[in-house]
Amino acid sequence: MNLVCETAEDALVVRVNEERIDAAVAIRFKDRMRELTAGDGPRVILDLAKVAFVDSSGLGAIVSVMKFLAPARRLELAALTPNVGNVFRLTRMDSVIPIHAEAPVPGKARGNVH
Amino acid sequence: MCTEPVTAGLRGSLNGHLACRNRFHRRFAAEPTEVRDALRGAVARFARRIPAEASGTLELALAEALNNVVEHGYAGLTAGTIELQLTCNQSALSCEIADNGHPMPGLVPPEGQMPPLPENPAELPEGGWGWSLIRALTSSLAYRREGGRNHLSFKIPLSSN
Repeated sequence: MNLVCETAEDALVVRVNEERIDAAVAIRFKDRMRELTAGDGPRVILDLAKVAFVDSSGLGAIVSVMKFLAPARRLELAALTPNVGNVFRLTRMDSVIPIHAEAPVPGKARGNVH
Repeated sequence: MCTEPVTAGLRGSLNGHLACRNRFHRRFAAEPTEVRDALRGAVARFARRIPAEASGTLELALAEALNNVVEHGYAGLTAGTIELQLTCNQSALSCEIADNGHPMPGLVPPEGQMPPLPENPAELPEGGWGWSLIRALTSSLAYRREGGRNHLSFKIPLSSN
């Protein structure tokens, strides 16, 4: 799984450079996220701009990440493509995980990302 | 609406019949990489003929149904094959998935209510959305067991332009 990290504002931003978070890679995604988020910091933002497809296995993996980060750290999502946004909406998980239009950019002053 | 492409392209057609352009038929092993490949092929076959939203719906519904066969249909068995057939007409994409795995419990697809979301985030479900997604995205969902094989069929409605 190609995941790239950088810090921006008070968040660890993890950019997912994969087209799919699905049954084929769900477990690998979860394991990699555990390794990458071993540090501190209140927020982890998953940048999904490149992800065209997430199925229920991928959704489950994302929820699993949210649960192992909690309660000390909050998982948020950014840049959901239309099909991916649809999965979160249908399952009502969009009411549970904060979703931003874009991921924060390192070095920019913090504005209203919501 | 399923529209005919302007240029001729009869990939996968054995006898050159025009109707094959609106069909997709593949047999593949019930394992994740081959499922991905079949999904890619199915979506590509119809991508230029149906709205983008319907394409997304098709891919998600198929993925959930195919993943079910891989994880549950063939659980405890040596991985078998899955046969996927899609047919596109003006009002809908009809899908049929056949496999030789375990019969569906009770021989009826699960009701598939969306799992409720508890107050406590630590109790959030990490699965169980498959059938509720399939039911939300499709119409005419039907299952039958025939000749030792499972047959699951459903339609993806296509909105008219």
